[in-house]
Amino acid sequence: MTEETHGSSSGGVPELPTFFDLLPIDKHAEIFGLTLHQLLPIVMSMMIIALLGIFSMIATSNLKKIPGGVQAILELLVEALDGFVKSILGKMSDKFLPFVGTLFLYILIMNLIGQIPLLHSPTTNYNTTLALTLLVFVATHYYGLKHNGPVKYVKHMMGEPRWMSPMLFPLHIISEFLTRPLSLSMRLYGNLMGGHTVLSIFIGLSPLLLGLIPIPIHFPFVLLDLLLASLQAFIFAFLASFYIAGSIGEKHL
Amino acid sequence: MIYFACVAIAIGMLAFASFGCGIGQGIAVHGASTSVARQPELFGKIQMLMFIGLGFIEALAIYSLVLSFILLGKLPDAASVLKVLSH
Repeated sequence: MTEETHGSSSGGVPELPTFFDLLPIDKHAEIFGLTLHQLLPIVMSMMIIALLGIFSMIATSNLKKIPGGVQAILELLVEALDGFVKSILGKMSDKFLPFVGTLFLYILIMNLIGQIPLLHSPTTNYNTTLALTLLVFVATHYYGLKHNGPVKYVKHMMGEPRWMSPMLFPLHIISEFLTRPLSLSMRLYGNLMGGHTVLSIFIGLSPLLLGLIPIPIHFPFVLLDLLLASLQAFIFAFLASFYIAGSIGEKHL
Repeated sequence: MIYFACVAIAIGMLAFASFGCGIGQGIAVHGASTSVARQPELFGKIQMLMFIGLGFIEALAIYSLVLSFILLGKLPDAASVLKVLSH
């Protein structure tokens, strides 16, 4: 690789430089027992949480009957998300709109912020996506138990034809406790990590015009990455609401 | 040495995951486009459905990409291999 991409410690995968490389600190320094490479996603997540919170506070500070500017944008977003969650969760949508909407917005900003130079997507790290997935996992089973009770919950696990239960019960257990969390987290992480790795490889390979100006041959991959990032955020929110709807059951929706 | 050669061959074979993924995506887009040609007023709904499906299919090829990155970390770099071979 060129000097532009410094080889990271995670299996020789090239990464773009971030604002951590500009800070006047030792590259191998440890803060709170974490290396800088491990600390970066956490700092970026904190920044995004602060950004979203401040934006919401500014938008909802003085609410008007006729919205203007920031409030109008936020109302459009909330209405679109409300319609989307209503189409899946029906009557229960008011209860789960904050959860699913927050997931969608947070993941969308996390995916798209990697396109800004010197910033880094936290979702390119597996720990972030696994934490988000565990939230969905706990919510799914908690509300499933709360709305159906333990007996009906186990009955739902048994499957429809009763004589096939011995075969279906392990299958349901494996599907709900292993496959779903794993695929949900790996889908988001793999898409984002793959996209950003392709970007960094192409940026490292870009030829120089007159030995000074780099030619941006990675530009088509930027467009692909923008599409992919928004699509994956949407799919994550869709699947979270879909899993919750499936565990609550058809009768309550 | 044979172990590392097998790992390298495995990384190359992981690329065949995109073979099936491409066929699946082609079938999905074909179905979406024919249904839009039959009923153009449902374009928005069909487009959303198609993109969700494409995202699911895309994930299958991405799993193999992640696996290949994991396996690439197991390979030694060229300098250490040359050092062993020169002895």
